[in-house]
Amino acid sequence: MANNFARILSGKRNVGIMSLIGAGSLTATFLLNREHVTAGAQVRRVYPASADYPDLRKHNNCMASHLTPAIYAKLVDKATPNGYTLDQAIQTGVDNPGHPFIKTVGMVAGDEESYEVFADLLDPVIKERHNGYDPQTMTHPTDLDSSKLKSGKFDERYVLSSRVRTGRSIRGLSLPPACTRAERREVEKVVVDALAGLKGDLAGTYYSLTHMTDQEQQQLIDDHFLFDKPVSPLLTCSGMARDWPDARGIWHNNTKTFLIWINEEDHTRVISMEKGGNMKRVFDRFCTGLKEVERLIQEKGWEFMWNERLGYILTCPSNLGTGLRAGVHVNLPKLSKDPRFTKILDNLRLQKRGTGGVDTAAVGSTFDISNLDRLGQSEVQLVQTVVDGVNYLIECEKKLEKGQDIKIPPPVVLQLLPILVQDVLQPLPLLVQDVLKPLPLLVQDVLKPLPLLVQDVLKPLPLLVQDVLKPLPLLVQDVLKPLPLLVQDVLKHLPLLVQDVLKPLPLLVQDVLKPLPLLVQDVLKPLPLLVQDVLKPLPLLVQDVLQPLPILVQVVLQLKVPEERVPGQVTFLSSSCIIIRLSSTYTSQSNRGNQGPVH
Amino acid sequence: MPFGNTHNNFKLNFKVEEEYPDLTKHNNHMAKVLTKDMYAKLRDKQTPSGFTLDDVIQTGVDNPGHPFIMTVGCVAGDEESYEVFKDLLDPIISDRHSGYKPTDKHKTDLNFENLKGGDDLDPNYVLSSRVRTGRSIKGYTLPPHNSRGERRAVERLSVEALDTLDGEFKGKYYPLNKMTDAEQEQLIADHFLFDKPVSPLLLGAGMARDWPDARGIWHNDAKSFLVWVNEEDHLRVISMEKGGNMKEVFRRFCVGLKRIEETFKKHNHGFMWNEHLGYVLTCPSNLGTGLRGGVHVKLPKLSTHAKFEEILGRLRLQKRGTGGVDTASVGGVFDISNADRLGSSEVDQVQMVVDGVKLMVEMEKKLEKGEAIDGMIPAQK
Repeated sequence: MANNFARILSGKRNVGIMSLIGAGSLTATFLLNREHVTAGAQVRRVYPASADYPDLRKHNNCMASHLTPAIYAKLVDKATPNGYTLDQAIQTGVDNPGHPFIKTVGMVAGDEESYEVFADLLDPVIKERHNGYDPQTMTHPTDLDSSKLKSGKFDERYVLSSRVRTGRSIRGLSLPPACTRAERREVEKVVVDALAGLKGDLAGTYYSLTHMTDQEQQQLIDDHFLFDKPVSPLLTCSGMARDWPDARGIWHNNTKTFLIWINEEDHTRVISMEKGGNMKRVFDRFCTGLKEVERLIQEKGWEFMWNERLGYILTCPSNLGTGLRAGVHVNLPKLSKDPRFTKILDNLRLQKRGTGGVDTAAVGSTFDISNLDRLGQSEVQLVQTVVDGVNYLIECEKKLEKGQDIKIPPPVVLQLLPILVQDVLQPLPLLVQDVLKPLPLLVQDVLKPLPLLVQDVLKPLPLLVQDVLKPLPLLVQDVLKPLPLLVQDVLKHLPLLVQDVLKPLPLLVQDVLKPLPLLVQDVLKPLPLLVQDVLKPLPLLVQDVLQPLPILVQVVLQLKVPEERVPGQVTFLSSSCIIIRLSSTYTSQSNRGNQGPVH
Repeated sequence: MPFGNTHNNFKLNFKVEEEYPDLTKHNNHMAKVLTKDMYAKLRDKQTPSGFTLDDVIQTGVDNPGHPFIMTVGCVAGDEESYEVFKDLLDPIISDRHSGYKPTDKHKTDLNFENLKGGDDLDPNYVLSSRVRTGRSIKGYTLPPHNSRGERRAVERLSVEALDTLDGEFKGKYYPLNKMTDAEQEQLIADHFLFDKPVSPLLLGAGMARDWPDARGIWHNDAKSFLVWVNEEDHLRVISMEKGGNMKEVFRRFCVGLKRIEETFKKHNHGFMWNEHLGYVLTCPSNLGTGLRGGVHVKLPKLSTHAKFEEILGRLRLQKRGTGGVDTASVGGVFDISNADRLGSSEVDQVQMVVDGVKLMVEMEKKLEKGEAIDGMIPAQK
């Protein structure tokens, strides 16, 4: 036992100051545009997760259903970048075990990043609360085009008032459970500044809770506009009522049909309402007003928290998506006493509340009837559901007034069923009816997994594609692989080809050259004879020339040659000799050589 | 760790003017003392366990005031809060505890033999007598701040210590989340069972988180000595019985407390105590002795006398309804107890109750006979 205490005591000694990540991503103008959320902020912890895991055995809320010790251990050391922790997010669910018949959500978000950092817990909670909507795989449709709404005017003998509300959060500022006073005041400032820009039938005034006069307060109470400090422990335990009424207030337009709550459960709650049954006009104003407010805050560089997985981000996970509750106060004295009333509402995907709002009882037979769903369907779709549903309820009421019987409508998802089938089912004996009764649910159960089935079909596609593409490289490889060899084979023959070309060349040359010698021979052959023929008479010629020479010389030497004789001049010395004067050089030689002209 | 105040460093990015609470309509001790400058000075501080200024004051910000009582408007999250946030808490303590100075020393005296009288209060008037105090276990953070793990450790340790008690103190522990319906019925009938706090003064401080995890009631077999575990403080120790024998109630109170303390000390976890503040508890109003000794006494005539309040003031006593704080009296029966906690000892305070109640009963008797009581009105104690 001493070990226990020693361990705890030493643990305490080792505790350092809490190290939390400050607002590293908070700029001076509070503009945040985080694509990725780092859940790395560490939280001061003295005890292991198992010692701090809450006792949820008697709890019945969505958080308790999904917060296993493993998930707790995984997330408890994490904080959002602003320092919001898991323990804070779940505190309201730990403090409020719930009701055996009503399943509350049991947790809140302290900021936009909570939905990322604590996704391991929030995703299953969202899934349970929103009919299986899976934030990891699905996208939420946002549609604020009120012109699409069909037949939104109710019979005013029954519908006393119509109302549409939603919430909006300002991106970059923490949500009510976690916000500091400064952040809350900033929300007030941003929204009030934007609202001051509204014009026409939307122009209005802001009444701050701290500064309103008694008269203003009384007027707001009479108008049923004033919201009080929350008393529901579901809300107070999450910390959203801290510092009340600092930076809280109400804005409404002059005609009192468009109203905005600031810093109550969410940054803003936007409400469009009117007496009577003109839901169309209420929804028109709702959409126009919302779009205007959005435009006005965007002018100053702000925007609403929204993403395509979760739609509009609000404090309570139950309000994600559209955050929209469209409803009427409707008088249904007969129908509300019919035992089928609850089932009819269920199938129409509507819920009833008392006329004081959530957790109140109905007064007389006037009920607040509104849509059950928030996420996975657009604003237009949800308001249409309310319109169609309330019209049906009024029809039932009228039938009951006339003593006629009413039908439980098929669940909304099965509106495709032919009305004929309905009429066939109705008169069937109860026994058969009881057999067929679960059919819609069965069909629903069949349809319900369809998205998952489709998913299952689509899921392997990438792999299939992969499987097709995978062998391609090998195929290509297989095609290309023999190419070198092919080339090789082609080239292989080349030498032979060349060879074949070159091979006969020598012979060709040979053939050309071969007759040459003979040709030469033929040319040369007669040459000697030719030469012979030429040379042959030469000796005789020479002889003939030379023969008389001695005699001539003799003759010449006998005669004297005149010195003036011009060379070349032939002088007949005698009849028997011819003097051929030779060249002068010869003469000069002869002069020198004392040779005289040759006679 | 009250909501939203754990990320203190993040808040420092905002200017003091932006974070300073709006206390213009407030009327509690905290609002009187916490100026913007003081807020600026203390807001970046934390105790070693991470308790911040905003944690301290949240209950006072959320509860502007009480129609009849000047509330304290702040709490401590651990023993060190009284040091780290001295600048805020010392003036509050001084204001609340009749000018107690930061340098004053508190006297602790749990020696029941020092009490004079107290065994002779007229049971025709004094219906029951009770002494309660609180104790905090050193080394653990206090109810506004503790985590579930810590609270459970306090419970474990407390139950262990209490189980060692024997003799007149032998008893049993009833954890709130495990008691049977029969046990619950009995505890309600004995007026022992405490409920989840509903007072926003307490809720605003975060001490009701995770209810009823690690909360419970221990009492002895004779049902005269009772300990609450993890309600507003780690331990609330109560000695009570029907009738007017305050002496016996106080004896049992002192003896029992000493026994419990011994056991805790053996496990190296004594009580939080220092010689300046005495016993350290969650609410600054309970510092010192943390003792409220009182009686349920029938004073139908005296309570309607013009000087009733003045008499109480002079006797240093206060009145409450028979349902405890924030309740009204029923049938002229009042809960009369000591007003002081800090600056006088346990014996001093119970003595004041004993003497004061005795005097008031005599006054009541006089008024019944139609006599005046002006001569009996005491001087200011």
